Amino acid sequence: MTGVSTPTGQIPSRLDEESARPSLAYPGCPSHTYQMSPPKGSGLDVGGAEVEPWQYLPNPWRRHVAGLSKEERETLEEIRFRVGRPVFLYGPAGHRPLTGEGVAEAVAGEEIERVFAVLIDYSLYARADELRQGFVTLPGGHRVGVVARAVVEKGAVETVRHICGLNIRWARPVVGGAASLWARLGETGGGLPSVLLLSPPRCGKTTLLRDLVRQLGDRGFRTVVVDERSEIGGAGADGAPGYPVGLHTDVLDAWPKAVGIQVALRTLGPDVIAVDELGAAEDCAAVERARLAGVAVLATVHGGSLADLADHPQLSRMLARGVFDRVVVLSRRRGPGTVERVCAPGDWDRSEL
Amino acid sequence: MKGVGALMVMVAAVALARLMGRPYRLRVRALEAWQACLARLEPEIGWRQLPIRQALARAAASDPLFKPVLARLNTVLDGQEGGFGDAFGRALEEMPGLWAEDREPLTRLGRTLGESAAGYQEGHIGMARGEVERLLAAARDGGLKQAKLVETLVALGGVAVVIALM
Repeated sequence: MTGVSTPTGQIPSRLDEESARPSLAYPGCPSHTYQMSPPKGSGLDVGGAEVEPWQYLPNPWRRHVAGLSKEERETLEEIRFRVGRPVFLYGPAGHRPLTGEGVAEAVAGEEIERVFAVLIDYSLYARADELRQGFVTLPGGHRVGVVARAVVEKGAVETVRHICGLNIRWARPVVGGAASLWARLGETGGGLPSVLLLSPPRCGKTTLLRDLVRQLGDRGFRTVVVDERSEIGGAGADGAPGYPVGLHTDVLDAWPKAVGIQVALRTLGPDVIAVDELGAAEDCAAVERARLAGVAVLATVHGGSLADLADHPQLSRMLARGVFDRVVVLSRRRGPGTVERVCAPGDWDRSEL
Repeated sequence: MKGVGALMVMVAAVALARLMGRPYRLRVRALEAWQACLARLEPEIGWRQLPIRQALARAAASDPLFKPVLARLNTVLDGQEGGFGDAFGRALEEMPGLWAEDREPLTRLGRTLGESAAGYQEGHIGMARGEVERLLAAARDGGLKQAKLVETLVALGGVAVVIALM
């Protein structure tokens, strides 16, 4: 499959400047880390939505999280509520319980229900589809995982009840984080490469994807994000993306991936389509259709290594057919966003897949 | 001088009559407002699936009677002191014209709003609409007749005073 030709015109061409830098060799090149929390003077900005997910929490938790030191708050990754246990804060340095006036040592079920009601703005019906998948997304793209008992009807999850845990994850846009990755993708026949980002959870796939999208959109590529979980664009309250996604980027917010890709192909004339967390057979088929239509695809998938994709019939077939030009393997070894490998088609041989 | 006095008595009597009939007329007006609001709320929740606050704000936007209700609702919810049902019940107290019996079905509705899937929400709103329609019919039939009777009696009382003065 061929890539998309680079558009020409007067649009600032940041990618050209970046790709002109000496590219690092791959595979087997040394690990590289892009910063989730950019250090001072790094030239990277945390852009986009300024609303921290903790601001959606009711008191007393909101008050106590707001009262944390600036450093701790800015590196906070998750806050977890579990019934009968303390509220825990998770960050790069580990975890610790949230303590303070009014914060119980063990969270009651009613408190979790109350927190959840506030998070969803008292509108369960508006979040029913998300809830069936076990999460809700807050404005700004922050995902709240919901631990509850499933109510199953005809083999499908109809709703959930008895919510006994919440995992609130902070989605942080990192502007400029993907710049160095472009240089490492190397030549792919003059076209825009289709890239699959592969890693276990919490390794920065979505953050990296968001910045790849932003860079392409800013450069003039007509980019469409099919944002099933509102995590890439970080849907704002007014429906506009909450994060900087690029001047020429359209976000199909909350669209199921397969349907959204079809709509994008039919109506939005994309150069590139971006989707998060590929996996379902119909999503993979839609991505293949997009590639056959000459559209580049940026996607993410859960997995520790290429070998993990071997058991996935659709994904292994897609790799074998060359649907993706590059697979970028990420880890947390040196912090979220550590690029372990950038693999080209020759690298995934049958022994690995 | 007598003529001026008679005129003043008549004006006062008519004003008093209107004042005494006002609660009946305002009740009809408030119930009509809720009837329209619930009709608009149904698609905002069932079809557009807007969050409840936004849905209510849109459904109630055209009627100034709802202004204090929405203001109170948002204040209570922003304070995150309780659930939506509680906040809705407190907000209803701000609605002019509603009688205690009118608040009951609306309070019941408030306890269910936002608590289930859209289809069920439409069912709850439909039930509340039915009850509001019944109350409205009663208010129109009995209440307005009562209002007219009170107004007429008070006005006639004024006329009687004028006749006595003459």
